Amino acid sequence: MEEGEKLDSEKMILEEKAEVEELLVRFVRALEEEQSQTRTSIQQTKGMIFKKPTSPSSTEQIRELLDQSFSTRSTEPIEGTEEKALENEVLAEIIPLSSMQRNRKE
Amino acid sequence: MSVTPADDGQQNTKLQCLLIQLASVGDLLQSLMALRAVKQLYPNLEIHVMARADDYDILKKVSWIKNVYALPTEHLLEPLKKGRLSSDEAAENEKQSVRRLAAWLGRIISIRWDFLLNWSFSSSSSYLTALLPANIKLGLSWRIQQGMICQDDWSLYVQSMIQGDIAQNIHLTDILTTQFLTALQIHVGPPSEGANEPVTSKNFFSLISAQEQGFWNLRMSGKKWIGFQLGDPLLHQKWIDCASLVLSRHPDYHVVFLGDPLNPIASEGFKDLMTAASLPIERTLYMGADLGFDLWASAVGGCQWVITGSHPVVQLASVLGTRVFGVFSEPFNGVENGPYGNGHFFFVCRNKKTLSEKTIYACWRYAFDEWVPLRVKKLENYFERFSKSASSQIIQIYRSKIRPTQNGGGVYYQPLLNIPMSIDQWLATVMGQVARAWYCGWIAPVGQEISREALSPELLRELRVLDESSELLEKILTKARFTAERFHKRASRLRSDRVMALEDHSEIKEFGEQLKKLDDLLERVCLAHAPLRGFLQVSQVMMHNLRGNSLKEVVRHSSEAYRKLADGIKIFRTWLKHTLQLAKPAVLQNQKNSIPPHMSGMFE
Repeated sequence: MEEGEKLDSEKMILEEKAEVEELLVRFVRALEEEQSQTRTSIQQTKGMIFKKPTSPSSTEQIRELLDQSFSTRSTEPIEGTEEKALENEVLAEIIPLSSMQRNRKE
Repeated sequence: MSVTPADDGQQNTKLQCLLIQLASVGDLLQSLMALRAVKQLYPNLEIHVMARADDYDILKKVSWIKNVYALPTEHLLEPLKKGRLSSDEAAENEKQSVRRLAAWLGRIISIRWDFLLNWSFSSSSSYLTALLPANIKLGLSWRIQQGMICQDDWSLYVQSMIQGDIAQNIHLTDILTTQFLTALQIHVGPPSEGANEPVTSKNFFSLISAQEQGFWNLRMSGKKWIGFQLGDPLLHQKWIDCASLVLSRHPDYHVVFLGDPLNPIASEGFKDLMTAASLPIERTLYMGADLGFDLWASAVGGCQWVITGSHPVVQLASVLGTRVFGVFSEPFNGVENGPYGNGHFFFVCRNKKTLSEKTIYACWRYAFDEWVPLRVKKLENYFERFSKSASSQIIQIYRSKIRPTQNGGGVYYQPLLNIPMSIDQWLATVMGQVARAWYCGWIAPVGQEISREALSPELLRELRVLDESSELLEKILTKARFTAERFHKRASRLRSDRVMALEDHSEIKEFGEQLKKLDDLLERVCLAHAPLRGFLQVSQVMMHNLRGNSLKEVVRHSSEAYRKLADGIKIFRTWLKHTLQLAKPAVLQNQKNSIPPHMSGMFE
């Protein structure tokens, strides 16, 4: 395995592990919260979801994707811009992550 | 993704299915009814259930459940109950709980489930759904970046309509059954033929023949019983008075008062009330709340009728095929969890406190006489005979019916009092039909279950207002649909989401802005016209659940969502126009045929 691939796969494992941990913690907290209440039926949860906003909407998702994009003068590669476009693409892979995180926090 | 049958064919391949049901016992019983119906059509399903430890005893008595995973809540949360602690200690205790959970989940996670059904529709269950591996997941799940998500269309409907408190008329058992059957048809194939056994049965549970149960069985067998379910203290004295009427007018019947094992406190003090009443001892039984599930189910199964004001027994009686007579009050949300099957009755009263035992008896007597061949009298006659004030105490009385398959199937509650339809009832009927068109691809005959007699001037006035606002909504949704389709076409031509020409970027931005404006308009119209709120909530949940990693994919799903909404409002308006048309005076096409025979000569 190439060094880069190895790093990617390790990163994925770490991300998955963090995700699993987060889900486990969330479940324990939710269980603790539910235990102090009477067991509810689906009927009794009426109105539950619309107390808090459900987001992002389609337009927000589209906007988010657009925010991540980089524009050039033309889609046709013109001399010397192909590499630049590629560079942008690579940059875009990094930048959106932080902008996405920022959006989530907002 | 599809579930691939092994070499020996679909019928012989076990399909491992895990149900997560952590909600109330009533919901668990509804889930079991739905699963039983599905298992009859797909006998190769191997069903496992994850439930609360309290429900373990119930589930162990269902013979077709392979495994029960009882959630050890006390054990999991024990480290968290160590009094006042520093934040570090609290964090360490939480870690301990998490470790216990991970250890418990280990063996469940190690199985690759074919189907995972989360029918609890709660936050906690959505985390479990996300954690467990499965080929097909149905119900609510969770994504770190998105929050709670719906795994399928019917879950989206449950979240936006049922949990969103919008009037609709599809029973939860029907939703769950259809949801699972649809997934099975898509991923496994058509069901096996010849599954015509009834889902409900006295033998639904394999009840243990305990000594005590034997004693009660002996006392109950060979006699006809009417059960009164305790649980709502407001009704306890009324049960005793009503039972007295039953015993005096039906000499071949006996009465049993059933404690509520799920809520033992509610039955406290009832025995004193009963002792004070002079009911004939030889025809009356009292089963305390400590009776346990076996005896409770056995007694409910042994009754001809169960009269109740609380919900879990409604599901238990439905599962066991015992007729239910329900007494409920406003606000009433029973359409989704009322009694399931043919021939159950329930009424909705204005106030349980002022409800008289005579009214309960009058309504039950009407239901009781239903299968008496000579009964020709209307409900109003029963009121006249047994309780003259009944009509002022009751809002509506319903009879359950299973629709014929050609009319859409599922349970339906037929109103029996000639009372005009409210806007909520009209909306429930129509939104139910819109959902069938969305998720089953089946459209009911327009106007089914809406009769001309049920239309009041007030309803028509509201529908005329709705005609205007829904027309506006239709325009918005049609525009949104076409904008999203054009947007999708444009996005499909992009070589990359990340690098694009400035003109493309601004064109796409413009599409996004247009959709945003239409979304805002949709919200404003639906908030200003409450009957259209269902469309807004479905839209919000749909848009929250859009999937895709690229602009093209997100826009494609968005376009599909708007198409669905636009189709829905069209169906809605067809029903609206039909209802308004129904109210218009009709010209008789063949006047001659409408003339009674003895008067026909007068017009020649």
